Amino acid sequence: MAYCPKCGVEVERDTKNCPLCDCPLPDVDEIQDPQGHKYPQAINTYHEDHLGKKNKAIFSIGIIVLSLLVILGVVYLVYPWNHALIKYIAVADLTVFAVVFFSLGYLKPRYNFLGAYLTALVATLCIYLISGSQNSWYFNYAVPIATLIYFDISIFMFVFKHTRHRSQLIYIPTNLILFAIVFAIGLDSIISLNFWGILHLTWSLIVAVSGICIIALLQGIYHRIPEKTRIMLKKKMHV
Amino acid sequence: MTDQEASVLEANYEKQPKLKFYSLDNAGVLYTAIASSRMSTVYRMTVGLCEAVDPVILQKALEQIIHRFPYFQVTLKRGVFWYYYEHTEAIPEVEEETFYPCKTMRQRQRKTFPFRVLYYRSYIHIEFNHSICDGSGGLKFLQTLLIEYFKEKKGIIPENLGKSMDILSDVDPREYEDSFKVYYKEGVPPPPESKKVFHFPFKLLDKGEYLLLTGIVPVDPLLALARKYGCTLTQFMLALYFESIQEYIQNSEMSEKKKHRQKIAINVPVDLRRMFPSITLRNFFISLNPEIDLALGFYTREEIIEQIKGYMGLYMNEKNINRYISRNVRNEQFIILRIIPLWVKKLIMPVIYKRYGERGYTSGLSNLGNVTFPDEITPYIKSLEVFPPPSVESRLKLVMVSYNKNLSLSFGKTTGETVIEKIFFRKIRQLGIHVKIETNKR
Repeated sequence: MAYCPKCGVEVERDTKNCPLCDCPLPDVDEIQDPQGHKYPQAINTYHEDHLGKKNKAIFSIGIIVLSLLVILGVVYLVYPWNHALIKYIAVADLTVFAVVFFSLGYLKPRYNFLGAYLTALVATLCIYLISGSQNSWYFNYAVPIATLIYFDISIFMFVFKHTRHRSQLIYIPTNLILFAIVFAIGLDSIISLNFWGILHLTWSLIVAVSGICIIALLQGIYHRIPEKTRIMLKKKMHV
Repeated sequence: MTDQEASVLEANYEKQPKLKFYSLDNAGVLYTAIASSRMSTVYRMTVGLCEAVDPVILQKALEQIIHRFPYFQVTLKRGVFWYYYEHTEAIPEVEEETFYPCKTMRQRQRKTFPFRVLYYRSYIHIEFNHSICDGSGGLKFLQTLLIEYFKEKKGIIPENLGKSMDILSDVDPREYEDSFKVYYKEGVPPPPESKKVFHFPFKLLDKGEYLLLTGIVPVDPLLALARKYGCTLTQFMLALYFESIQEYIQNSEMSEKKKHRQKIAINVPVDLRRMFPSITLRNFFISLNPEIDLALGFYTREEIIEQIKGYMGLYMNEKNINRYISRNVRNEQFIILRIIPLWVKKLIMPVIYKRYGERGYTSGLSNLGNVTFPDEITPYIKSLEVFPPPSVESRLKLVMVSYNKNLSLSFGKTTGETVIEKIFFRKIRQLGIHVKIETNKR
């Protein structure tokens, strides 16, 4: 019989570590338990079970997307209709398929998110090329804004992942405000760079300052103001 | 089984009223609505035999008894407003255990049952969906199955069937009644609402995984200790569990002020068959939530026991229990809730359950009492354990059941942390009681 020296409990014969405190157990019993382990090496079927459902969804959407493409192809070739419009519909069709594919989570979360970002870039590029626009809105606005949102959401997810088990009442508003501040500064920069050719922040600074104040207040309530500052405030502000 | 018995069984089966449709009982309605990939609402009963299980005989025994339990020979179907169980002619099959315990039961498939019978080496596991029956009904099925198993394997015919079902008897409609509705009284005010309490901040396991940890302790010294403290065994174990959670909070990294803001409440299901003359095998229990408030200071073991005894004395009586029954039945009969389509219910019920149900308790402790098998088969049955269904909000739950002078304290966990069990079992060791730990964690 094997015992954990720390917990004092008896454990199963072929156990290497104590199931309670994870303390390594001395291998005193050479003979294997004839009955073996009580439980088998368990298999987790969660992903398999869900893969079936996901495959069904992607298959049905795939068929719809494919049939629409065929119809558009036929119309494009035989019917003298608005060709640009047909191209737009085809781009939208493929984009929807790509977005559904990435949102179903076949890949790791970060690759799915990257895929969605790239889909947005490619779709806007296609629209830019089809429209044959004279000004370069794609490079000046579409790419920077998409990239800004991509990085902003990345930061947001990173912060959220590390604070999700703290008080939700404090951390969710904090994260959302942080997200809004980064987005506002980024958008203001993009607009000012394109408009004046220099970095000239205006309204985003107001958003940033007020946002930071709210964050400081929320965090101050949660973590409490440092002892020294509290005493100083108490002295100065007493009524 | 003799030919005569077989013909009686067949004749009985023919004359049994065959209900095609069973509406869910009051608790079943809730359990089906909140079931998700993490909350499978499936609980497990494990029997350890003295020798390896014979799957062929187990299958035969299952086939013999299933006709006596027509209300379990059903498959879950979706209605427009509620789920319901429909009779199926299919026969359940025993399977070798390969997956994680209490795995989600695929619903909306024909020929799937609300329970599964598994075996592995010398262990038989029965997993029941909580929407069909509670621990008391499940144990009756298990006892009947084991008697039939040993009848087939060793030719043992027990004289006294004890609490198990006689498979040659007729099905009594009261066995599948919804006792909540039968014993419901109109006009009884609901119990006070629960407040938010401490929840374990442990990291969750991956979806689909579930860990079990059992501590087997001799029951006699614990009973003697409980007597010394002047309380029942359930109250004593509950006090130890409260004390363990309190010790965890005391040793955690929270600020002193935050530690004193915590409340600990433990959900204790009460089997209502002891209070009402019901023989139903479906769900018939309500839960009480004894609690300690750390804002009043940390409690000693004696204080916790006094608190629990006081709480149980005040609330565990028919008058107060009626308040819970009438709240549950009234909620189910609430017309606005009834006419919401099922798919909307599936979306909102988990949120409501989290807000009004699980928010109010830290963990659960369920005592199934002392289980006995007929004397003739007891020497072949080594152990009995019951495990709670997995839950997200209370990541750790405890079920205790005693059999053959041993008490199984079985934790079911959706987290990999073992700190609470460590404190809990070390406390039992400090009382000088031997503990044996078994787990499915590798």
